[in-house]
Amino acid sequence: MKVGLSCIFQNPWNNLNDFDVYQHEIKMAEQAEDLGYDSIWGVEHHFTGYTMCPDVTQWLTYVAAKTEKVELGSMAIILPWHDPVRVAEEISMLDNLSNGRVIMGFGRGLARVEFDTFRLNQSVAKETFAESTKMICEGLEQGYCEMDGEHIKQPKAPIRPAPFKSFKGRSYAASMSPDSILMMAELGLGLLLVPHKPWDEVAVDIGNYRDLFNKVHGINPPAPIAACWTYCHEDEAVAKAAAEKYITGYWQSVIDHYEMNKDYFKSRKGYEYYGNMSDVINDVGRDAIADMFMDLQVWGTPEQCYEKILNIRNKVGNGGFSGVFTYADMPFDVAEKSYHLFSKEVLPQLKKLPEVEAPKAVA
Amino acid sequence: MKVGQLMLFQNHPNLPQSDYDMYQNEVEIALMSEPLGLDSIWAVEHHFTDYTLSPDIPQFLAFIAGQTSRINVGTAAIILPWHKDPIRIATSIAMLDNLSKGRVLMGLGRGLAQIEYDGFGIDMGESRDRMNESAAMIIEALETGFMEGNGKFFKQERREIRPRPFKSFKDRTMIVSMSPDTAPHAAKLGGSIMTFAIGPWETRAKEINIWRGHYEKEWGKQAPPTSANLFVICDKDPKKAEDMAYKYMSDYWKSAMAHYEMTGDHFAKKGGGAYDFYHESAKYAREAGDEAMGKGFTDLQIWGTPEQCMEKIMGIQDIIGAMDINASFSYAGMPYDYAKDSLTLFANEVIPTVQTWEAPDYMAA
Repeated sequence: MKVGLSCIFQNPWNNLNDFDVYQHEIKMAEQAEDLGYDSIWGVEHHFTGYTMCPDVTQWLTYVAAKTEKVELGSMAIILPWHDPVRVAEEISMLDNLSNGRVIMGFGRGLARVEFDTFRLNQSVAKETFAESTKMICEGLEQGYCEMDGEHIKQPKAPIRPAPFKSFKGRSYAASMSPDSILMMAELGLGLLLVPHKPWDEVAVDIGNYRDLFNKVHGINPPAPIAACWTYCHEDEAVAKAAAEKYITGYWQSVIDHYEMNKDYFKSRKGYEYYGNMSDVINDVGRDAIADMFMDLQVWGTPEQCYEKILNIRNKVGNGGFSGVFTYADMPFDVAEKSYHLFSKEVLPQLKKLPEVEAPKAVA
Repeated sequence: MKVGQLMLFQNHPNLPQSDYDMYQNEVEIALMSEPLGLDSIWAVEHHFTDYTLSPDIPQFLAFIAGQTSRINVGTAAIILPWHKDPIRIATSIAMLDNLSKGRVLMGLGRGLAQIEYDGFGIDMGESRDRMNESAAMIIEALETGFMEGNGKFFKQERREIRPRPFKSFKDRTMIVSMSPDTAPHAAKLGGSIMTFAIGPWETRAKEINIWRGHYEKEWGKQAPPTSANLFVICDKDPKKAEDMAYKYMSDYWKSAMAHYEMTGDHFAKKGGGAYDFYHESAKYAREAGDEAMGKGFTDLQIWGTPEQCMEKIMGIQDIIGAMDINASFSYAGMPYDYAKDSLTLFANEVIPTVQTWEAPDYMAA
């Protein structure tokens, strides 16, 4: 199994200096290669302390300069917020600067603070996502972008610097709702999984996704990659207490950023799934949902962390795992200790797990 | 005087190579800058053609920031009308400043090539208004930490820039001005002015003086040094320097003419006269012909032995007043070994002296 580090640049309650958060995440990323990680990831968000990484390719380009061999993954670039031809250029430039280390991951976005601030109609996000993805993926193979879609009109534009190797097999999308997961199958993208509901339920979605992917493309999809909020400590009780504090704290920041407890999703086409989710949150209560969220993540002693990841892998067949180690105002030294323990005790065990077999083309 | 290196990322037929190889070569030359004692590394923004392959400057500079520790990293320049969202530029700049611990220099421009405007689906006739509106929003956002706007082109609800800018950009912002019409706008936006070595330095001096006059009226203080982008060849053999300069600077000039379609007549009447200056220049370019223009362009640049280079720099400063320079060493498919030798010689024998030159006093015209 491949193992990654996800940097999410959180300052959710503005208790820290953004600058200090940056220096900490840089420090974590700088150690990853030596600690044995296969990849480093970034996620795109704007305007709040939830995740202060407005330009994922810029972050990964910085990391590319600090490393030699780790892969550089976007989990994810949110396409409806971008001029897609620029995304194709940035991805190609990063691949040129990093000697082909990019894992390309896209998403369609969820929070209204971002859609509204970019003055975008969230109700067409699904369509703009599909058109942008198609244009970028085709563009990176053929060397130019061109699209006469309903939402994206792009005259033929060469991508320079030119892409120099195929992105097939390293193109993914973050997906949570059952209908968007099927769209990703049609678009031929692998899956980036962010835990938000029981893994058994995710497994059902993935089964449907795999069937459709196979039907449309004649091959199996690449194995999914899962990112989990992670906390590792020798003492089980300490680990549990930290998880209760920081993982549920992170969940709180999710609710705040996405305004998950409000019902605006229902009036935005393609986001009905999240409208229902907000009903559940309001019905069941924040605390119960936070507990559920915590149980999906990876925390405990090294042995427990390993078992939890193995359990996820058994259910959803992910070929990669990426750990988020710093979040919700966890003190930097606490995060770093957990990161180091995980790296020393859990990561080598994970890397011994056989890689999921790569998809084979049907002749 | 500060001295930086400006990267162009040209993939020129003089040196056939893949974009990938060109990137590795240019990065190698850029990374020589810090150990050689230069003050800064800069890049231009261009899209879609061989002319210069640098679509995202903050991204490239993030790479440089990751491989260096002291040197400043600058945009020369981000072309605002090609960006549909000023808030993205402000956040990318703030992010780069956080990653590089405050080493960013920010140059902003309005762009000139039809092919890029068309590629982004932006009407070139709107360039000046888009530029002015977007630049004002970005400059203000980086000072206050918040962006908002309700202009003709950009409606922006008030939002915070995250990661937060942690130090002022006031003394490290430059606006490209290449025509007398732009100078007053640049002065109003504040910051310094950035110029490229195109057309006689006396002509540049006129608009720089216009800018200084407006700047001093607007801000009530002496204008900062001009940021001048120019081409360099430094060689102990003066004849060799001359031959190389006429070959590669001329060839660069021709590539620019092709990219900007400078001999075309599409600048006429664009944007209510916003490109009149270029329309006139294009007329002149058509009459003079490529060879003569290429030679004329070369004569504006810095080339020769280290002593000759110093004299030429002093000569330009005598004409345009206080300046910092950003020098390009690799362009038009010049062999990389030659570019590296030229940079190394210039850095060893010219830069240490030039860096000690104090800005001359001047009076605004």
